[in-house]
Amino acid sequence: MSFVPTVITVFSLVLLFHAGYSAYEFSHYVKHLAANANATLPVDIVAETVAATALFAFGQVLGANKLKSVAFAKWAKGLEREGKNPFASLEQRPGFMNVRKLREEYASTKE
Amino acid sequence: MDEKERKQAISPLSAESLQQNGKTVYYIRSVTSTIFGVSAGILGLESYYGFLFYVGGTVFVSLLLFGLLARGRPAEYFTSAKDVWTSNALTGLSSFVLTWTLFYGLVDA
Repeated sequence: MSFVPTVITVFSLVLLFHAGYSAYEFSHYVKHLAANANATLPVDIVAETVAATALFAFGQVLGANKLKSVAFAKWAKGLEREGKNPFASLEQRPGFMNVRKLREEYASTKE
Repeated sequence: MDEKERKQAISPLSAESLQQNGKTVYYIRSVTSTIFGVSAGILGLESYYGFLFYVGGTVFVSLLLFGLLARGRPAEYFTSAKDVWTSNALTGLSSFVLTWTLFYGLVDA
């Protein structure tokens, strides 16, 4: 994850923690201090929670790995640009390896 | 051979890319649904409203996936274009309920 998405995610988590603590304090206030014991959550805490959640999702999607094209042609092209073989699993088959020849080669290099 | 098979024979798909894209989407869905549970608990949502919150959050994440990650061309990154909306949409539900109930209890003083 690069710098900007990390900052967004951390900021949203701080915001969410603050909203949670505020909600806890409000609940405490309503239960033990206020005369009117049936109050709903203040709108600023609701807004903070929703904003933090949306920001977190945004940061996560922004920082996610890039999607890769599922078309085989494009995938193979990208791999070949990196110097790799997209058909390696077909072309390098241990079952078809000529062991005698490899052994002779090995023996000749050893001398 | 029906049309779908014929299409795949002409332009085959890369299993590796499909798997990696699936992994990316799965990770995003899991992490965000956990946080949706936290905020549903903080907001003190109960019964159907909590699940509605999950549905709303999932749709929001799908929109982000569609716009930011797939850049409006989901057919290029998934087997079918609707996968960006539906794939793994329910995988986070259990972790959502877990954190929802946990934070509902934590916030209640």
